[in-house]
Amino acid sequence: MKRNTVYLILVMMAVGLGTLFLMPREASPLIASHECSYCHGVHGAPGPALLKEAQVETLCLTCHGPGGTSTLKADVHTNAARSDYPPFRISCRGCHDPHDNLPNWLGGTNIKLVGSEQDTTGYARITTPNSGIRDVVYESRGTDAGEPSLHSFADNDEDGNTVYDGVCETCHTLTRHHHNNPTGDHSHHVGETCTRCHDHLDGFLR
Amino acid sequence: MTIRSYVPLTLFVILALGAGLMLLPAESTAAEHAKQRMDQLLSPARLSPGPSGILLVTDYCAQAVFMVSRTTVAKVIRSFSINGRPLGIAWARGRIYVGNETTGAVEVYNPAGKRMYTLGGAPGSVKQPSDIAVDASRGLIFVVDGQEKRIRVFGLKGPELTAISGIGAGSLVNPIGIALDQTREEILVSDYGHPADSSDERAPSLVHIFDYDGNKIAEISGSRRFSRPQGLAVEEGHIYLADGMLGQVLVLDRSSGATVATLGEFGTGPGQLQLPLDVVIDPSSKDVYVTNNRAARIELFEGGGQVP
Ligand code: HEC
Ligand code: HEC
Ligand code: HEC
Ligand code: HEC
Ligand code: HEC
Repeated sequence: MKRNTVYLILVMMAVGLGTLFLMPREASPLIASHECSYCHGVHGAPGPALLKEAQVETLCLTCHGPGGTSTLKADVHTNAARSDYPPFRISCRGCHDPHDNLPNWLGGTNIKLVGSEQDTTGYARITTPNSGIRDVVYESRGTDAGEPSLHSFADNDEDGNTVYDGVCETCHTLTRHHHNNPTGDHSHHVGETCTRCHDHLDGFLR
Repeated sequence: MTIRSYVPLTLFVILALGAGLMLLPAESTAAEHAKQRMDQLLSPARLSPGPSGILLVTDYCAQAVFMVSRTTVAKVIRSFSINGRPLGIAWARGRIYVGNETTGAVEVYNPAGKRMYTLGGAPGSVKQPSDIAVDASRGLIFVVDGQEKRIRVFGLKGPELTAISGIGAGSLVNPIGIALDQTREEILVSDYGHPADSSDERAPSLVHIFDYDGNKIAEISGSRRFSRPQGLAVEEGHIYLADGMLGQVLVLDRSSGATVATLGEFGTGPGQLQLPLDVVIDPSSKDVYVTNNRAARIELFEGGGQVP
């Protein structure tokens, strides 16, 4: 019993120290539109670690969902009403880093918080449902009226590196268009802003 | 909307596909995806009492108004589409008032879903019609404009009543939901405050109380702070406030502001609340209805409007 208490105190001290080290590292690079207190210390949100997916999703949607205060709206990516695919449901954390835009493996930096730290490489990556951890590239190319385009959503391997790492490719293995490999159709509206038709608020479905 | 809840749906889809594959067109269009959702709630937002035995629900993602049965809340009786994202909703004298966030207007429909007219003239006049409340006997419609951060007042037929328009300008920070206490002639407005954590000193989350002339009477912040206050309802000296983050309906004493009870708990399981967005109380049965956004359901708390 006593040993456990000592152990517990040690662990708590370690966590405390760890947080001290983490805080400054996390504090500087946050995107301008979010303040730390938008997510941390929110009454009803879980403790400092905010680990539960459902609670993180709820938190994001209190601002980015119906009745939320942000003008930017989103919803999770999940099966269409009539879907040809096995059930999938990808929540906010599945695609976004809550803290910052990360560098991607091609040397650029992602935008809109897409991709997060999955390992020690520090690159923006996504844990995909069927293909393990994969790189994700989502950059603004400054075309299409300032909206990200081309490589950003689905690159159709335009850079010839044999990797299909666009954000709308990197997970897909079964869809009719834009797989994360050369199979299937890669021509569907390639180079366009996919979210013009596949609205984030409709889970990217149309 | 857990993955598990998709299993029966998927099984059904597979069966249906098996049976009907040959009849289906080879490629479904994006628009068809949307239409197929019309018999099923997708993202229920605000609630309102409707014609007898019916509740009206706006669905932000299905872009529709659903009419559900008060006794069997899972039963969709009818629905009609809205051209845009609907939020606020109210019912008065056979008309359905719908706040369309996309067009920036309060649109008026008949119960068959036919659009009749728009409140306050041209679309774009109510920037974010987040919630609507109506005092049918006095012929007044109160609309929360979340972007202009004030309450707009209209007559049932459409004209803006300029004399008492613009309630709360200056004191509302991020107004969200609205309810009326018709006996006391009071307007209750929930307010996120500053979007940072709810104890933020710049502007905490609150319920403001105004009289019908727009004079501020009181401010309520609960015994514990609210987190993300959404829609609300008033019943015999108590305020029922849906809190989106807490996953609860907070029951507040109207005069002391204290939290005297709660309904529901946060969670993704059956009956638990994840992102509740509005509350309606049946005055005779005291049943409480809540939009459970993430679960895409209406929850019924039988007799929940009876505070011990
Ligand atoms: C948009 C929401 C959001 C904002 C804003 C935010 N965080 Fe976080 N934070 C999270 C989530 C969610 C987690 C849980 C871990 C995870 O999912 O990565 C987290 C975890 C953490 C952790 C634990 C270590 C870790 O990285 O997992 C620290 C420390 C932290 N945040 C500090 C900060 C600081 C400092 C700020 C402001 C500069 C901040 N956060 C802003 C959502 C946010
Ligand atoms: C307290 C409200 C709030 C919460 C909670 C919140 N956000 Fe935001 N977010 C904002 C605001 C405000 C903006 C800026 C856009 C605007 O003005 O509406 C924004 C912008 C963004 C952007 C666009 C960033 C860019 O570079 O353009 C992303 C992506 C985003 N949020 C994701 C998230 C995710 C994921 C979560 C949950 C982990 C989250 N947000 C939680 C308020 C919030
Ligand atoms: C399947 C991956 C994926 C998931 C899951 C996902 N997002 Fe996104 N999100 C993206 C992409 C890609 C963009 C950029 C879209 C664009 O630029 O049109 C984006 C953009 C955003 C933006 C900014 C929108 C804009 O127009 O600038 C917000 C806010 C946001 N997401 C919030 C969320 C929230 C909240 C959730 C969870 C409910 C979520 N996202 C889930 C991939 C995802
Ligand atoms: C985190 C992984 C992930 C990302 C990122 C992602 N998807 Fe998907 N998506 C899936 C999965 C899993 C499926 C099921 C089919 C499959 O596995 O290929 C799917 C299926 C789809 C479907 C068909 C859904 C149905 O049920 O008919 C569409 C449409 C779609 N995705 C669009 C997009 C778009 C557009 C983007 C980029 C904004 C995107 N996806 C990014 C994981 C993802
Ligand atoms: C002009 C509107 C439009 C644009 C832009 C668009 N799509 Fe589509 N997308 C559709 C429609 C409609 C469908 C359904 C018919 C079909 O499968 O072709 C669809 C289907 C899909 C599917 C397959 C769904 C399935 O059931 O397998 C995926 C994946 C997809 N789109 C991804 C993308 C990506 C990635 C982009 C951007 C490069 C994109 N779409 C741009 C309209 C669009």
